[in-house]
Amino acid sequence: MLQRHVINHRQVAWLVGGVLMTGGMIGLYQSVVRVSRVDAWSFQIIPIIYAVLIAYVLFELGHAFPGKNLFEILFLVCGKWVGGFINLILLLYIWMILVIDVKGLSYFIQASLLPQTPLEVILLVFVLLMMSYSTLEVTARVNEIFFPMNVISSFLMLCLLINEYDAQRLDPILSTSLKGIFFGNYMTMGMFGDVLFFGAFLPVFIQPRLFFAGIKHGVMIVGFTTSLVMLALLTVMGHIIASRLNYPVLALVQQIHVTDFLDRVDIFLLSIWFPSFAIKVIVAFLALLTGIGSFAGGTQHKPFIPSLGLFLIITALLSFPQVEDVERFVGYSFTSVVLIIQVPLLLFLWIRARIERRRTGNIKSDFPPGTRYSQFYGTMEWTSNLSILGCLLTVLVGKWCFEQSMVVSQYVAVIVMVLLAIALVTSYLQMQTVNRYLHKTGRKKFGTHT
Amino acid sequence: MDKLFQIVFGCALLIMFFRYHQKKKRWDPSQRRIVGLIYLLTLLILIASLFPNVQLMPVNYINDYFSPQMMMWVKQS
Repeated sequence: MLQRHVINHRQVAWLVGGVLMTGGMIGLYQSVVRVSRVDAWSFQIIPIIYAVLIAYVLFELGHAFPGKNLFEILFLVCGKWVGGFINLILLLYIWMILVIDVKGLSYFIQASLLPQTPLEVILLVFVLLMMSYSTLEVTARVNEIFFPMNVISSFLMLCLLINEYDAQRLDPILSTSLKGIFFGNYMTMGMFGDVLFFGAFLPVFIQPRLFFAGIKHGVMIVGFTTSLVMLALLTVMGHIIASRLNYPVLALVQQIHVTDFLDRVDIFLLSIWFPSFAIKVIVAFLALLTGIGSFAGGTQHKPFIPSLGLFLIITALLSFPQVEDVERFVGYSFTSVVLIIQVPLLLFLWIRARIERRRTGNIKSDFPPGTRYSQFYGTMEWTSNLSILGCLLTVLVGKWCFEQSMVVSQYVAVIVMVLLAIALVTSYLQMQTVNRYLHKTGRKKFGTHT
Repeated sequence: MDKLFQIVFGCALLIMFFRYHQKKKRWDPSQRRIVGLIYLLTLLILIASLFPNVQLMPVNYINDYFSPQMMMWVKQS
């Protein structure tokens, strides 16, 4: 069923962006600010590296096992029983993401839009909406409308808040302990681990390198945009207020007071955020359907939709009795669970993919070396990778400088933002280079799969 | 959970199960088993939710036992 879908590189990048960007908006920001305080703006650096590593493992899998999704690969590599057991753990992991998002979003809608509506009804309507999408292609196309709107609205929000900024709220920058900064990054890693469920759609992405470049670009869009939003949050509210709010980003939008007639901008933004949230949940639901479908031979997903929808409603209702529970789980437990599941699995899959590629003699790069495209691709890849590593290094050096002289550390945030912007642009060029090369050589065939 | 919602949800589950019973002959045996298992799990969870103070969800367990320890560790550092 999945093989018939048509997803291009831009849609992949934007889907990844949509999934990751909305994932943290409910329940993550305040926990990160509580721990990393004024230095919460650096909360994306290690998670970006982690997400790129996941994308790399998926790229290797795409090469080694063409036409197979993550669940099928596990069945193939580990056999029926062990593979089935690992797939069951993966299904539980995706179910956990779904429960967090569905319940978190229901609380968010109740708090922001529908305070009189019972939570059960909001949740029911939301799950019914989710059940109506049964293909990734439709979701990707809907996301093509809402993701750019979401990103543009985020930048617009930053501009409209211009009269509220106070840079002194960031002072003293880099005063948080290194452990605090690291823990802010650690909390966000769980959210960026969501990239793994794109493994369920591996057969949709015909060219693994284009898929990898698309995911990397999506991750960079999120890394750059959410860092700016976090910086705005800290400079508008300060870390003390931001860490005590349930929905700091919503409160940030409510701070926009451009004129007397434009003081409820949050209503406009909620109409963009809600579909974006929905898309994230739909992608996770499709991954869950694919996973369950793989147990039944992976033929048709539609028979599972009503039963899974009902299962999700009842389990989401019984999970997280209070809104604070969602925040506490996302902030303090989710990443640990994600890392326990993902790290050994990714290591195992990477080793198996390398072995498989070596066994079949498929270890050469799909870019012939020495061509104009491969040289430019290599330059862009190195630049973006070094920019990401440069962000990490800048924070570490800045922290060391803070101990010596506070003046130098003032520029660290600016340097990190510039490096993130460079990584964003170069990841885009990396993606476009692969796309142009594939077009030129005629290897890009949408809608077919071999 | 609201009692009225539980009744509505129970009715929806019954209707869906009836439809599954009608359609299941057209599906593969493995599909039939999996869908049946999911309905059974849903029904069991619905019944368990009728009893107060029954905590079923693993996420709640993790949240109750692991998160506070993690919070304490972060605060200490």
